[in-house]
Amino acid sequence: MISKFLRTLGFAVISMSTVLTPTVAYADDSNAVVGAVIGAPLVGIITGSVLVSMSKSKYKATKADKYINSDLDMKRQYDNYVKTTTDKRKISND
Amino acid sequence: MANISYKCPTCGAEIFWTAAENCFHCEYCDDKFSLEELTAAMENQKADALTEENVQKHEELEEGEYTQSNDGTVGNNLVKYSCSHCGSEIITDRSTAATVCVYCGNSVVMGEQIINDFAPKYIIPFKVPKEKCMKSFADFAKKPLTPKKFDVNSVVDKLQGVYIPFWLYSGSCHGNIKCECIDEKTWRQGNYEYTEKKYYDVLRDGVLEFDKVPVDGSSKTEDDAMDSIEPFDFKDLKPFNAGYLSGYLAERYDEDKEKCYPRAQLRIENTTRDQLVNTCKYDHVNVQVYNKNTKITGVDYAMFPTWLFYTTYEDKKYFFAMNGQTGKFIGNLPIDKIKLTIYSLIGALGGGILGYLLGGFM
Repeated sequence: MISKFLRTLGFAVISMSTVLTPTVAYADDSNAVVGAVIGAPLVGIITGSVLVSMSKSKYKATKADKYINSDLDMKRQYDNYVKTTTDKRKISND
Repeated sequence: MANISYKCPTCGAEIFWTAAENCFHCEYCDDKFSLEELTAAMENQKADALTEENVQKHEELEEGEYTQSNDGTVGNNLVKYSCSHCGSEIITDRSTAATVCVYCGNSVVMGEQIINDFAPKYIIPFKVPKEKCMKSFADFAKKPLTPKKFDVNSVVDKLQGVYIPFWLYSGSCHGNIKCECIDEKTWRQGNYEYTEKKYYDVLRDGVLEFDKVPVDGSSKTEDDAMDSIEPFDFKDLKPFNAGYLSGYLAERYDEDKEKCYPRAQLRIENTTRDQLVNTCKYDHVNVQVYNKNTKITGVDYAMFPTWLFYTTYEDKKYFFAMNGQTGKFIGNLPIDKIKLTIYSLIGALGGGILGYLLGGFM
């Protein structure tokens, strides 16, 4: 199942790259065309995925949240401060 | 003695559990009985009590006697019973606990499959009647990608009410997590954006208790499907009585509690981990170590109601199931690839226009 998913994903990425790369290059500096070229396949894939997921409702249960019988009984806990880091990034040349 | 079947105390006709009315209903004289009333009426029929001595044992098939099961697959694990009503042979596999005689329609409960080690402790009786199940499936199948040719009406007749065996695991999980947690703050000053990250070394160690985590004990049903029809509402959990099986099919477990335990353990340990992580109130929580120790204090055997059916569409088999208590439907519907392409293209067109407009503003 995972290999099938990866195959489909790989196919989608290659297809998108094949269409997107030359089109974006051709679009030059036009943001509108770039937006259209990126938006079309992206929304198309999302639409298809959402519709397919609506037709599928079987899944493997991995959680038992509904069967918890008590509050979490905390035996031990600590939060030890370690360090602080600060990064600085230039956001504009103006 | 024959297998167990339930007779109307008034007229003696075959009587079944009726989900819609939550009682036994005689179709012939229209009388209704609660389980307690029916049990009291049968008090004199002591021979019907479930003991090892008086339940009918299955007979082994002779070699080559039957090789095909009902669904067309070759059966090599079949056994034979006699119908208590008409005497016909009933061929089932070894794990069938209740069925219906194909010749006379008599409901037959295989006593030997529900005594001793196979005696369930609990049962949730059917609450959703077949008619409602059929309507629910019609609603369930109304999805945008369902092919028009997928005829819902032709498949609903194959619906079968089946009691599925479940193991219910109760116990606790002692878990501890060690994580690196980060609180992040971002602000702007002049032409610069600053990001401050505070790092913490965090430990959480706690115990979480669980009650009746269900795992199906039948190899014949898909694990994913049985997981998906949860949850069952345990407020309807009743002490097991074979009378509830009357009129439905039932399976006894063929996967024991040890074999099914890893599925319950995985769920319990994942939920414990989540609960521990949820106590870490930071922007980012990276769990580096998770130690866990699950202790099971009790395992109960129960039967839960489901409506099941298989159907074939374009040579591919599809399986659907409905929770017979809550009415929740699950299954993977066939997908019309032409519809999928059209809807995706419409989505792509919309996305293209949206992208064009947004890009134009940037």
